[in-house]
Amino acid sequence: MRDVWKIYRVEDVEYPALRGVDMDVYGGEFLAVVGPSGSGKSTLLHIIGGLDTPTKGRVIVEGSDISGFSGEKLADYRNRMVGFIFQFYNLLPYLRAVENVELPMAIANISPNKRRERALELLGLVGLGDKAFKRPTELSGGEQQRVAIARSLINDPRLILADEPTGNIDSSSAGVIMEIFRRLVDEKGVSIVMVTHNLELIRFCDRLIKLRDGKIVEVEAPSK
Amino acid sequence: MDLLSLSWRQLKERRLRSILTVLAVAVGVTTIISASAQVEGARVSILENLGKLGPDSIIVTVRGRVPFTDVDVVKISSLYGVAKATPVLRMNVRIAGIDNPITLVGISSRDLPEFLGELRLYEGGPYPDLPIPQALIGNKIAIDETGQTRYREGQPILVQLGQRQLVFTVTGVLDTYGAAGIFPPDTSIFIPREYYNHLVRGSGYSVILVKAENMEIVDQVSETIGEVFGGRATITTIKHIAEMVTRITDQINLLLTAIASTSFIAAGLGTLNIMMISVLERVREIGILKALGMKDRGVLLIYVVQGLLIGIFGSLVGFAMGSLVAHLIPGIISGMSQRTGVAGEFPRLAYSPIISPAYLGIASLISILVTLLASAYPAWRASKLKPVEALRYG
Repeated sequence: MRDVWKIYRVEDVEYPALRGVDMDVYGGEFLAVVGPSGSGKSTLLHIIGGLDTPTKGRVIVEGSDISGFSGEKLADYRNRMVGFIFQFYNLLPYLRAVENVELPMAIANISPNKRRERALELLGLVGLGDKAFKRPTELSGGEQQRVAIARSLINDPRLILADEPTGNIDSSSAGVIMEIFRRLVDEKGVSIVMVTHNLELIRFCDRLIKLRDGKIVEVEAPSK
Repeated sequence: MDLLSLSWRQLKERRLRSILTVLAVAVGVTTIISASAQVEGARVSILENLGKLGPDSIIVTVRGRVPFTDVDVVKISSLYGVAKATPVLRMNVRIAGIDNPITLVGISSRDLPEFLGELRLYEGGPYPDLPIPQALIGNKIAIDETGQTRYREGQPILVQLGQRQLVFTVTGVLDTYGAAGIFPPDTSIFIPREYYNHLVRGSGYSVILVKAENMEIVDQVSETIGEVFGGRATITTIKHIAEMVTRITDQINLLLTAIASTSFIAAGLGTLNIMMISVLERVREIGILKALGMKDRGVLLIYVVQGLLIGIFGSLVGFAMGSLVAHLIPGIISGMSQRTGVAGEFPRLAYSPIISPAYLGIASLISILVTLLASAYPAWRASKLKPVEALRYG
């Protein structure tokens, strides 16, 4: 990310959310982004994930500047290159766990058999093999978040973006999720960028970025 | 779980609302199908009855006060292409206990099958062709609306002709014919021509039923008769009547479809409303789908397909309800007319409703088109939502 600015304009007043952010995410690293509310953490994540576009600056992912992508190309980028995990899981309530996991593959037009097989495999990976056919409302918060993790992994993305992934679940479930993240980074070489308020989770990460008022104020490797 | 399945799941999730929307659409389809089935049924029934008289028939009716004479009958019989000319005598009479006018027809019993298309008897038989007061009576004269018998074979029947009272012996009762022939057989009394002539001496004929030698020359024969009689006669061919009936029923159907279409406007607005609410409720969900990589086109399709599904189900339900209502309507009409006493005013048309594939097609097409149009705007709105804003919603 090079000199990335994001300025929201409400009537004639400008609210800068990001002010010239420069940062790198390396392959196979687990990066934590921390900072007070309104510091621009989520905006940063949305811009990396192609959910939002920067007002100024470049976002280069594997050699391509996604800040210039069209809507269609960005949709493809979100589908294949990135996996999102949200604080409130964002599962579709009328789909079963396995169908929720399949969704990104269905959007990519992959055959039903192939995607079902892969979805079941990933649910097994996050320890929910026996709950594949439950609806989200039948699962606990921690379980729903694990379904969301499985969903984020289905198209084999290189980058996982997690926005307060443990913000809504108890601490033991949070620990389980952090262990899954760690394993993904170590065993599969996936990069994870996680926005969090919870400083206890930082010990699982490789590196830490602190944001304040839309600027990076500190980059450090956490003391493990 | 592709687009179609997502659309379907969303409809299923809001089951009651979807069912109500489908029903709103179905009402229009039901109206068109049930109404057009009545008109189609009536048309086919009329054409069938006309067909019994034969497509080679020509009806020559007197115009003005001077009736046809035997000379006219002979004149027509001798024309090129005429197979037979049958004079028919008729006038209106009254019968005690029946409010509506009855037609007294003087006709040779040999000519009855030609006049009626075919002779179908409820009981008894035709009269001998002699100058005696015997009669074959229509079904509605013999049996009243409640199914009670008024007159039987062998019984006398009192007929009021102006100031005169005449008594005939009933030789037979006809079957129900409905609206057939030149005048309604159900409310007619048929008597021997010889006796009719005896009753009203030298009155002449009001109608001559002409059969052409074959169907191809019907127009030519009717033209020749027209030339012979000039302004004295009105010439109608069964072919011409059939064409007229078809033209009129087509227009009635068009009118009914137009009226029923207004209900589609209501259904369309209802669908638009429901789809707008559905999109607003699902803003966050649309944000999720977009975050997972669904393109604008995909989101658009989800909601357009929902509109399409509502239209298709509306047509199917409307078809089922329409078929049911179509078959109930004749019973309802006859029940209503019996209560209000309208029944006897004119002969009731006996028909079975016919559901025409053309109107089924039109109704389905309109309903699908309306729901597609109604879903287009909400679908477009949904597809244009920005993912970040949509995810923040709700």
